[in-house]
Amino acid sequence: MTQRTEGHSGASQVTGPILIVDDDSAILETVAEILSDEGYTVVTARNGVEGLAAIERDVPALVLLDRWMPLLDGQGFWEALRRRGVDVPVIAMTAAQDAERWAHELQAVGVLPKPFKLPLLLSLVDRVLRTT
Amino acid sequence: MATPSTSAAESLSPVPSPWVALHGAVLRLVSAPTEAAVAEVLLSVCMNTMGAAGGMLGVREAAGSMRIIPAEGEVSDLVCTALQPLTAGSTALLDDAVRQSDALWFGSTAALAERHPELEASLVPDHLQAWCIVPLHADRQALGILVLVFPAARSLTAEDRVFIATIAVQGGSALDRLQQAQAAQRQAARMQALAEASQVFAQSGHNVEALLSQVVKRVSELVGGACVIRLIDSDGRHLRLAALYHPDPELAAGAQALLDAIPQRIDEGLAATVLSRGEPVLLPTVDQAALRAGIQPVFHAHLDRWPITSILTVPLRARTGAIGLLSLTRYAAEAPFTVDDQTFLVDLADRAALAIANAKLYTRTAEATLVAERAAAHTQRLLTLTASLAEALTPEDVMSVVATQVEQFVGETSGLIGLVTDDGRALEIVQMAGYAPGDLRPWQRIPLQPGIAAADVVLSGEAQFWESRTDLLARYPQLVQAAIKNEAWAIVPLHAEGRTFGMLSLGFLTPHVFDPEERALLGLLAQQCATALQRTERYQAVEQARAAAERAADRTARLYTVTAALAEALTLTQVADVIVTQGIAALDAIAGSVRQVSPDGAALEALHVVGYPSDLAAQWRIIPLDAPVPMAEAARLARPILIESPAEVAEAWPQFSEALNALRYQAVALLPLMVADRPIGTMSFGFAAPRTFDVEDRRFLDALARQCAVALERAQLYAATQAQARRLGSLAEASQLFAAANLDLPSVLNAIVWRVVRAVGDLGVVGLLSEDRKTLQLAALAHQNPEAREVMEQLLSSFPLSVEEGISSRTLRTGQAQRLSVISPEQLRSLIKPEYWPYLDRFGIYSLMIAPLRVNGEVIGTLGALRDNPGQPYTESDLTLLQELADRAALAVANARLYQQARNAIKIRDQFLSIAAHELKTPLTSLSGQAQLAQRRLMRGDQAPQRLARSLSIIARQADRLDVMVSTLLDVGRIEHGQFVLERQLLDIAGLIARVAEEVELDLEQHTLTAATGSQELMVYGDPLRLEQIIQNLLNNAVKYSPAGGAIEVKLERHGDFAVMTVSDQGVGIPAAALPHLFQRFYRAPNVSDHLISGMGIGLYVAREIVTLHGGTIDVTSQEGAGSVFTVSLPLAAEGAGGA
Repeated sequence: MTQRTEGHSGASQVTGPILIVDDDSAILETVAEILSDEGYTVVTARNGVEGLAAIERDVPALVLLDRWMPLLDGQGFWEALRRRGVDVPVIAMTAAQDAERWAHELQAVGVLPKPFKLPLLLSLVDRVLRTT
Repeated sequence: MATPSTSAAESLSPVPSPWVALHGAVLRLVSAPTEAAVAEVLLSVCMNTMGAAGGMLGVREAAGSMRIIPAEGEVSDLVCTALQPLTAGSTALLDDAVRQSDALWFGSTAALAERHPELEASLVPDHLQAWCIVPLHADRQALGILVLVFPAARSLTAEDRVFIATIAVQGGSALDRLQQAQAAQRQAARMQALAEASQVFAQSGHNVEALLSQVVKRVSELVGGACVIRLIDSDGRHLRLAALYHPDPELAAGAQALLDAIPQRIDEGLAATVLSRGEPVLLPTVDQAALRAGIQPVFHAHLDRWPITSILTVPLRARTGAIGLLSLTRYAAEAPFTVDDQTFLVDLADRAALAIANAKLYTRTAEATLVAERAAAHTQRLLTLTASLAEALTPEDVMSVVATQVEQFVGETSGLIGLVTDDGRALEIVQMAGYAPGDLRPWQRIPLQPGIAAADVVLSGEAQFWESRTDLLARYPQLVQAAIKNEAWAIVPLHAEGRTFGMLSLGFLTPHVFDPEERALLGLLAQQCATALQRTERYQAVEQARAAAERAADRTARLYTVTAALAEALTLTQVADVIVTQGIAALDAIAGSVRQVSPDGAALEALHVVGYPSDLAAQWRIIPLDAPVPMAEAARLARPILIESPAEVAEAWPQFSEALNALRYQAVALLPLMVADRPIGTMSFGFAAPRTFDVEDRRFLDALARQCAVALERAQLYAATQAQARRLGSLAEASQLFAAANLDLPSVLNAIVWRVVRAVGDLGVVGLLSEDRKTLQLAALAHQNPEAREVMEQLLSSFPLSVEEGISSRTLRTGQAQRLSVISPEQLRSLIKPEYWPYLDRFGIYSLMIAPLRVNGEVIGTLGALRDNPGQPYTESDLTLLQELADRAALAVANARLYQQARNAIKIRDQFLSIAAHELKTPLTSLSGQAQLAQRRLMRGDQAPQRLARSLSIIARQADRLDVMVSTLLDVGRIEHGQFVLERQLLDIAGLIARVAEEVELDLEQHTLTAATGSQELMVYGDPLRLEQIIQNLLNNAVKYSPAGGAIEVKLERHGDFAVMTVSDQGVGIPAAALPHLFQRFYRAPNVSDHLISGMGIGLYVAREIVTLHGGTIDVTSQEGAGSVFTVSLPLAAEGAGGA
């Protein structure tokens, strides 16, 4: 789990970091770099367990959540958040064909199908953080 | 002679004068009470006065003998001895003396011997010198002698003469007095005895026999000797021994034997004398020679033993004349009879005769009364007989009445009634009494020919009376042949309406005199009997006619009932039930069965059986038509077999006899059911008692069989039509159901078992072989009884059947269907495993079928059906239907399995595609993301080379990842198409493993990797890229499947000619059930989803292919939750092998 803080105008009013949870280290690194480049504070976790640990430390403004992960998957992580009463917007991020459905189940604020277009990622994050 | 002075002188003189002594003696003689006293007086006076030395007194006895009374002293004894030759049993001495009228004087012994030479030997001269023998008289009767002997020779003086003469007179007078007194005494005693005897006879009452016994005993006691009474027989010519007595029974018996030997005619011998004169005959001494002459020599021994010495015979005289003789006999030493005895016996005989005559008279009177009473009784009995015969309804009754009545008339009898047969040629014995059945076997039918007693009676119309067997045999000698037990016969004809139609024969066990009265009575009896028989004949004829009419009506009614019931019966079951139950009712049978000829025509199959024990019913359920049993024979010969008694069975079908005995049927009717001269079945009926099947019975059975045959054929046709329709219906329905059930196997199987339940009942079950083909697993079960279904389901689930056990094992093994139509409980228990017995106990299994489910010739399971309740066994057509359903079920199973496999394949493919896409998109995501990021940065003007390089590095790595994935996928394609090839060379596998391990270790964060490949090169001949692919795959898997980290170990060892690599981890492990499938394409162990580990399920599939192509093996051992160990064995390259 790493936290990157790189200045960005779009993220100036954000109250918490963006938490990225994905078991693929290359994806984790790529997404984190992209968002950091845009000035967001980013926290990464390689599975649900690490994700929950990150939330314990600092409640994020947004979670980008992968679906299939070892130890604790996206679904489990989301349910754990619910149980803990943590209300945080989630963007579902998956390569699965039924990404939309899963996103709906999670009551996600957005869905980011893998592989994703960079503008989509940025606009989603921006829109979510703006509305909150 | 005696004076007072003399008396005085006597008292004074020491030696009294002879006269004084004589005077004293005379006085004493007057009062001497006995002969001995007389002797004493006489001898003592002679000895005292005359100087006699001794002597004796001889007293004449009635029977011509002499009683000797000696004086005291030795001399007297000598005298007695010396004179014995003339005194013992003789009166010779006395007679000699008496003839002289005076005393005889012998001066010397020689003189005596001279006169009596007989005495010469016994006289002893030295002691006895002079003798005097004095006769003693009274009224000129010589009563005795006095013998005196003197010690010395002397002469007789005058005084002596006077003295002796006086003594003789006085002695004679004394003896006379004594004898008179004795006679008087005896007379008185005899009078007394006579009076007593009269009284005794009177007390003997009117029983002649008892009286006679009393008489002989009494007479014998009173007079002495053996006493015999012989009475004149009824013929008036012979004497009959009536009574005999002697105290010694042995002698009495001897006497009787002797009496039997002497003439018994009244006009011969002694009897003639006594009876003709009416006077007694006394033989005091019997002439032995004459006696012997009159007796047969064989009886002389009797006389030797008991020599008869004296006989006294007196007539027994009654008012009408002599009625017999009373005789007394004495033997040997006994005294002869006297005239006194004779007188007494005559008196006694008169009294006895009177008593006998009275008794006889009384007896005759009593007999007369008896005859009168009997006549009255006869009349009474005749009345009773008439009344009894009037009530007799059958010849048997008549015989019974006759036998009873005749027995009362004339004692124990046996009787026969014989009637002339219709053809008039014989006499048939219709009734008998008092005979054992075997006695008359030869006489059951007597030809009406002269020369046979019974026939003669009928032919002549005259009664015959045979009073003894001798009489009968004299007339009919041939009767000797027959066992005749009777001694007398009365054979009387039975007349009616002027003709003789039979005879009544009565036999008597003892010879019997038929008096006119009896003859008349028996004639009357026969007449009564004839009338009664005529009446019974008419009665029976009417009865028979009525019974026949009733039977005919009854049969018609019964046949109508059967016909009506058969008309309503439609199915085979109904028809069979009607045939058996109605047949039993119509025939009054206790058991019945109906069978049909099997479709192949080889056997008789039971359709319905009632009244047979279940084991026998089961045993005879199928009877081969060629079996040597009556049932098969009836069908084979197409004719009824009617067995009227067990004996008939024993004769014709010995092996069947035992079974019949077991059934306790006494008669059996077996009838073929014929249609167009062809047997289509049989029916049988068993009866509780032996019976005959008369013409009417046979007609009825024939009619019944015809009705039943038609009904059975109709039912068979109906059944065939129904079965066809049902089968078609079932199959159509089944096909429909299968179609409707789509390709869902449980639904199809459920539809099939319910179809079985509805078509053949009660239970249907499908069992399918397990994958390992070791057990038969319950796939579907239906039962019309939900409870039974539940129990069976529970049992089948709890105790699955091994393919080796149970009834289904045979079907599984042979692929053949089985039908156990009727199973006995014992048989069932032997076939079915004990765990299933509770079902048997509760619901039972009566009939059972099992059909195999076959797919392409392979048995994949069974379809079973069973019926719980007895009554309707499964038939061959049921089995055909079941097999057809089974074939459809098998097809359904096969289709369903194919469909399942196809669906699985599709599902797996879809899953794979989804997984593959996800897997491929993952590297693509970061690759694409990095490219877009680099592009954005460049556009922003951020050209920092480090960041760019980093992006490019990530892009390159992800491109490699994609390449590996795509290559693996391509490998799968190649493997599928058989295009997977190796490029092999000699290589050191140890070095290869070490290198790959090093590379993998670089990227590890949470794991440790230990490689132990040894220091030695291990050369294999293989494809280096492919082998590297395997090593990488196994190591990456070890990392991937231990998400929590841990130690990973790779080892290489040489095992013989193999290089053996093991890769072990401490990861999630693999469930045991998943191990066999682990190397299958697209397969992923079920626990990977729990651990959310991604993967396409192709790595190990390809790995196994590579190893196999190298001639090696790959295996796995694992414990879920503890880790896994993969082992790869590769053959080592041969020494010196090059790069071929």
